[in-house]
Amino acid sequence: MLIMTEIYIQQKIVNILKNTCLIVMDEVPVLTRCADIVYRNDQNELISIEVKLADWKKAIKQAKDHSLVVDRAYICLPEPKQKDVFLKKIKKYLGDASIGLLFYSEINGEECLKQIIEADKNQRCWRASRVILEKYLYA
Amino acid sequence: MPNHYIRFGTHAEKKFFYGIYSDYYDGIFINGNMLAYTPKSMVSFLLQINNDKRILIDPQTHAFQHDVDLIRNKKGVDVKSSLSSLAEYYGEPISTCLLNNTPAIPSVFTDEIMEKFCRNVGKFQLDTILNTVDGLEEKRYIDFAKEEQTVNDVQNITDIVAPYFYIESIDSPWIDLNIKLVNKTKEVFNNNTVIGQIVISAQLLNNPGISTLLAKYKTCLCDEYFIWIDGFSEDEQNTASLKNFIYFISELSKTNRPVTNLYGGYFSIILSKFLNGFSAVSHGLEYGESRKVVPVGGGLPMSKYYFWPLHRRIKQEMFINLLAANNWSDLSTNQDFENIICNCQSCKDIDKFFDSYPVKRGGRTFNYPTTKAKEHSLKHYLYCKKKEFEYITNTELNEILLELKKAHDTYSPQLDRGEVDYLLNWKNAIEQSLQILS
Repeated sequence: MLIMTEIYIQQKIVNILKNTCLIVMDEVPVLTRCADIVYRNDQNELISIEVKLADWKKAIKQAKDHSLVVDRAYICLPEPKQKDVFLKKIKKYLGDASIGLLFYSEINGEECLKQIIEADKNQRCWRASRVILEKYLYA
Repeated sequence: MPNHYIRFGTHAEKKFFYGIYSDYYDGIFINGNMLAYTPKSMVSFLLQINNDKRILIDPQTHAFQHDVDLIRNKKGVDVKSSLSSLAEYYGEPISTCLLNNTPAIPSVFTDEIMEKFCRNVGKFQLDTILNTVDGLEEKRYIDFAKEEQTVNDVQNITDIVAPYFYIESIDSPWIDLNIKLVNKTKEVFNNNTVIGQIVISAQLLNNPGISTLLAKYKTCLCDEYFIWIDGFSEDEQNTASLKNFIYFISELSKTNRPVTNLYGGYFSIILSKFLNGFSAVSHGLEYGESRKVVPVGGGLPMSKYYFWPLHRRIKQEMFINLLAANNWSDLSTNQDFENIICNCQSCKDIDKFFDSYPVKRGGRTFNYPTTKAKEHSLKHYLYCKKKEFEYITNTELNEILLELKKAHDTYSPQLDRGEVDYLLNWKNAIEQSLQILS
């Protein structure tokens, strides 16, 4: 049985996104934190993803900080077995922080990244730090 | 007004002690290891300090009581060069301990060694700067400048911090040795102001046995006390710990000898308002309102913004949240920020606080502040500190305490739960202590 680590999932997501997005980077400095992944989507939005195996409250806190600079911020967790029960638990926390949710899974060796809850678009991006982030991504 | 001392951290900070910044502080602390290792640089710096500033040298003798591994250089092979240089000045028993790769223990301080050690530590503080000046090629120009009073008369350094060691527990054998070292230093340097530096663990403050320690220090022969509570961040303490801290200072104050907190913030400045004898608060440039005893020096600090109403440095993320929550994001259209938070020159260019560059550390990449951003933030910090000392001097205690509550009530809903509860802890600790003290 495959034991997934955060770094393993992170690399898999980067590979998936690279198929469709022009800019995808891992370990990206955002304000005083380091976001696991930042990419630009087809709507020209900057998206951050924080990957966690279990501590989703910490992931939300980190993603909330990223959201001060990117257009949308997500957390990504391994797809849980009892999805509905889990979603019931996490939904309010995500909503309060305007953070989106992704699930990563592997079924029969097939890697799958699913958007479960879309993140709200950040309306108040901190311009000075956004410039620093863009400079890093395009360097 | 309580005296405001600043600890010199790195040579890059020199400029924040001259010019307009001269008005911002009353005294300066120099770490002994820096003086021992770079005496010429330190002297050229000190000569440019205004004559009215008190100059104090921290002998850092505690550095030699820890596991030697804790004071090795980055390669982990040799003891840091600056501490080796310091040890050369101090001689026995420190030099032998370092040679044997063992930490100093109380039993190595025999009566005979103790006297010599105290003399060496004292002479290091009194003579190193003068001897360095004497050895400079520019000596005659300096003498001339001294006559013209355009450089600091470093002969003003007459105060001596007695050798001291960290006290972790109430039954520590270092307590009695520290007292002996203070008394011996006073015996040797009878005409100088001798300072007893008390360095204790934060847990010790909450130990009922602290009164025994206090009784011993109250009878020692020093002229002044410096205190350093290991890692004591005022904004991380509960009300009980803060009250014990107040008790500790108030007991020392009863001896009518001045007390200085070596690493303190706004809470300490407030205490000087009602604790007679609590005469000075010291801090580093931005990063030193609390300090752990080990490691001795080091650490890569992140740039933070000193948020006046909360009287503490906050992370960029928290600062942006507060700017957004109060509609201060566009400062060009909003005067509130200037009126409520800060009107210093740095705050007219908020973006500059965020200037950074990526640095890889531990396999991850983080933004580190540029030198310009650090300086920008430092200018703002020093401005706030000056304002705090003036505010405390000119404001009634009741009003100061009400401001703490007001800041808590204003910013608490905008931040994570419990983030600013320390403001209420400060207020409660002071009010409750005042009842006991009266």
